[in-house]
Amino acid sequence: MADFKIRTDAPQGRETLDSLVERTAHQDREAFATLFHFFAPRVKSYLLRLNADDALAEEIAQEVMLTVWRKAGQFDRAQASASTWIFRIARNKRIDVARRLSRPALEPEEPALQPPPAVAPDDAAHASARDLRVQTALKELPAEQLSLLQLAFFDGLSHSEIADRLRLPLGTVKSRLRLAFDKLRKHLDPDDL
Amino acid sequence: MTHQSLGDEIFSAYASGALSGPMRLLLETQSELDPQVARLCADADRIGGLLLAANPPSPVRHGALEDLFAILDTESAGSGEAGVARRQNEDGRRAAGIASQALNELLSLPDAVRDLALEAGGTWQFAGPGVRVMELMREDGAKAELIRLEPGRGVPRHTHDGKEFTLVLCGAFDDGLARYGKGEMSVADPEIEHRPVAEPGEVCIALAVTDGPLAFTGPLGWVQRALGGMS
Repeated sequence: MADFKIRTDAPQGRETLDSLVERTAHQDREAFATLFHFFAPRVKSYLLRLNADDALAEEIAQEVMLTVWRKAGQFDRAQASASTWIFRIARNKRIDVARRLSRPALEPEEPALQPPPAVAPDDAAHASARDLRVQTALKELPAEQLSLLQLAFFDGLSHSEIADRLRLPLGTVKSRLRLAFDKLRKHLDPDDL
Repeated sequence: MTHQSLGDEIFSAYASGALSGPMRLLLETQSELDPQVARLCADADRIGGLLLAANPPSPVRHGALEDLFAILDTESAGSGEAGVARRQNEDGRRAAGIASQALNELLSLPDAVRDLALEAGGTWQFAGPGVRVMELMREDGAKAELIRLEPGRGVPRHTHDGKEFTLVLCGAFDDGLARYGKGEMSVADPEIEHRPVAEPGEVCIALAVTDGPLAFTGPLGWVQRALGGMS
C-alpha cells in the first residue's frame, strides 16, 4: 500500500476541467479531447483497481467518456466539479455493467447522475472553494490513510472487510479512517467556511 | 433517538457503487427528505472525485479517442431523445391505469421511490387489515418495499433475517419504542421484535429495506458477477 502516491502533476486545475466540460456541452471536440486525455486513463486505472481486466476497463472507460460527451449539457459546476461529476458517471457505469452482466434480460437503466436533491445555493457557492481545500487536505494525508480511503470509496469495502484484507485489527481501521475523515470533514463542513 | 443515521461506511459504500440496489434506494430517498444526508452523499462523491483525479493514469489504447469520435459521427442525431420520450410515454400509460386517488398518493412520494412504484404498476398487495405492501426491488438478498398503514393500523409483530430500515415517507408511526415522523428512520436488528403502528388521523407510508446477508456487495461480488456473465 506504501506504493500509492497522490498525483501532484495534474495538468489541470478544477476551473480548467470544469470549463472543458462546459465547452464539451457546446460540441467542442478539442476541449473534449483534452478532457479525454486527462480522465480516460484515470477512469481506466479506477476500473483496473476494481479488478476489471484490461479489455473490460478499456471498454467501460470508453463508455464513460461517451457519456461525458452526451450528458455534458447537464453538467453544472455549482453542483459538482468535473472530477466529482465524472466519478459519478464512472461509478454508475460500474453499477450498470454489474447489473447488465448479472441480468442481461433487463433493460439497463442508468442511475441518476446527480443525487436527486439540489444542493442549497449557499452550499453550492462554497463547493468550489471547498474542493480546493479538500484537495489540499488529501495531499497532506499520510499514504496509509489515503489507501484506506481508496479501499472505502473505490472498492466500497466495509470497515471489517478492510480489516480482513489488511490484517489489521478492526479498531485500528476505524481509528485511521476516523482520522482521515476528520481531516477531510473539517474542509467539507460548510459551517466552517 | 428517533432519527438514526447509517454511519460513515454507508456513505463511502454509496459513493463506490458497492451498495445493493435497495440500500442505494434507501439512501437516495433519505437524501430527498433530509438535507444533511444529501450533503453527506455529495461529500462522499466529492472525495471519490478527488481520488479519481489523483489516480495514477493507465494509458488507454492508441486510437481510443479517434474511435470515440467515429462513434459520434455515425450516431444518428436525436436517437437518445426518442428513447427518453418513449420512456415517458410508458410511464404515462402505466400511471393512467392507476386510480386517481391512489395515483396522487404515489405522486407525492420522493422521486426515487415514486418512479419505482409507477414501474411496479402502483399495485398494492394485501398484508393484513389496513396494511398493504408494494415490492419495489430485490437484489443480492436485499429487498425494498413500500408499506402503507391506515391510521391506527399496524404491521403484525415480526422479526427479520437482516437489519430492517424503515424510513417514513408520509404520516407517522410508533413502534412501541419511539415515534417516527416524515424523514425519520428506524433501524431494527434481526433480534428486535417490533410493531410499527400508524398514528391516528393520517395514512402512513414508509420505505422498508431489509439488507439481507449482504448490504455491501463489494468489488469481489462485482467481478464475480462480471466474470460469470462473460464466460
